[in-house]
Amino acid sequence: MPEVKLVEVTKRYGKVTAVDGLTLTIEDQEMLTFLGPSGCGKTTTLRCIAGFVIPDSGQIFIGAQDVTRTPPEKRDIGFVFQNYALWPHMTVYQNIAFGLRLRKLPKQEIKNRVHEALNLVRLTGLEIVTHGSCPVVNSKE
Amino acid sequence: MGIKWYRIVFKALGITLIAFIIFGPLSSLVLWSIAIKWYWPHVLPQEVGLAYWKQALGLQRDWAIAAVSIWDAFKASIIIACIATGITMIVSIPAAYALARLRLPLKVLFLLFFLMPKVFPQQPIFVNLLPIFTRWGLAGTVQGVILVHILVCLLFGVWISTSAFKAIPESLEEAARSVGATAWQTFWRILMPLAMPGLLVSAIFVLVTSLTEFTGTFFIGLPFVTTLPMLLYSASGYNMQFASVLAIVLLVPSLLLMVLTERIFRPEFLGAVGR
Repeated sequence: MPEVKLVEVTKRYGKVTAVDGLTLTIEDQEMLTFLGPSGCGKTTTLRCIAGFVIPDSGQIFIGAQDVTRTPPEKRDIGFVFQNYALWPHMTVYQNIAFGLRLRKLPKQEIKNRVHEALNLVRLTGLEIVTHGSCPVVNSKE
Repeated sequence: MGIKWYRIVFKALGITLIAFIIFGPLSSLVLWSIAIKWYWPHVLPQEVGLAYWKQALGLQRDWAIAAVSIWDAFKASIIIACIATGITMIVSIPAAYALARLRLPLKVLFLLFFLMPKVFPQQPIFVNLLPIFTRWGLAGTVQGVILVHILVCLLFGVWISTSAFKAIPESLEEAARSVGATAWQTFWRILMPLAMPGLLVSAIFVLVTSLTEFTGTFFIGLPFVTTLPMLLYSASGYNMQFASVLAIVLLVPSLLLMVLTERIFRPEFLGAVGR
């Protein structure tokens, strides 16, 4: 995994400065946790790294590449949403396979990897339900 | 005991009143459409028959019956409504997406802009539109009528579609982007399927509006473009039977589409308007 580097990243929403000149390096293999009161810019910083928010000034690097203005789909970053952000019109299988399909992986490979993932979280057998009727998601496990 | 008795009578009266308000005019329509002879002071028609229906549906031709075949007007209505709905939705969907998602200044003004043809008195608008359409060679043409219908329909197209897009959490789009979907792929594979029920409701409102549109068609289309409401207008007042037949024919698609709407409609579609 390449390192992630933020240089003087600033983001304002109107008069509120959400992130103010943040410089930060996350090393390869490092696990980093943001901790702070609500409104201090944790989410905005993460959203800048994921590419959903473009900072007003400053730069973001993944490895040696400047991704400050790269669209989110080109950054290859995994992002877990607070509200899960599962697609209600797709089955569990389709939800997991969506990203792999976009990457045009061969069908068999997609199948193997989806089953691997389902096995990992012990959800095998629930592939064909939609998330609205999925007991596990409903119980917020 | 006394109170209970009161309540039952009150309820019965209420239900009767509602039934009368809804079914009174409808039953009168049905009665008139089959009345051959119905003179005062008779409560029910003296002579009933399907002559007007047969004539209207083109099954017979009798000079004594004041009705013409409605098929041409019916076809014109359907064709105009379908084309107007298609174009309205093609314009509305991107506009609605922009209004729902992008940070546009004066967003509310944009939404109100589409409301304008509805809140202003319709007559002066179309009276003033007529010379412009005449200059452009659109007066009295099907294209002109379609254009007017689109003008009237855009309100439902844009407003309801905007709500349909607003009802989708933004995180669903972002999640798709983060696993590698482009903005275009996200729109087609996440947004469109999720917004589809709302967009369908929107299209149904547009279709019904176009099918029953009167004022614009009257000023721009007549006498060369005859839709069902135009035929109804020319028959109403002196020819109750033919007018009733037409009214029932016009009611059928509206009722069917409304039933369909009721099945797919969720209150959020309108709840998000203007938010």
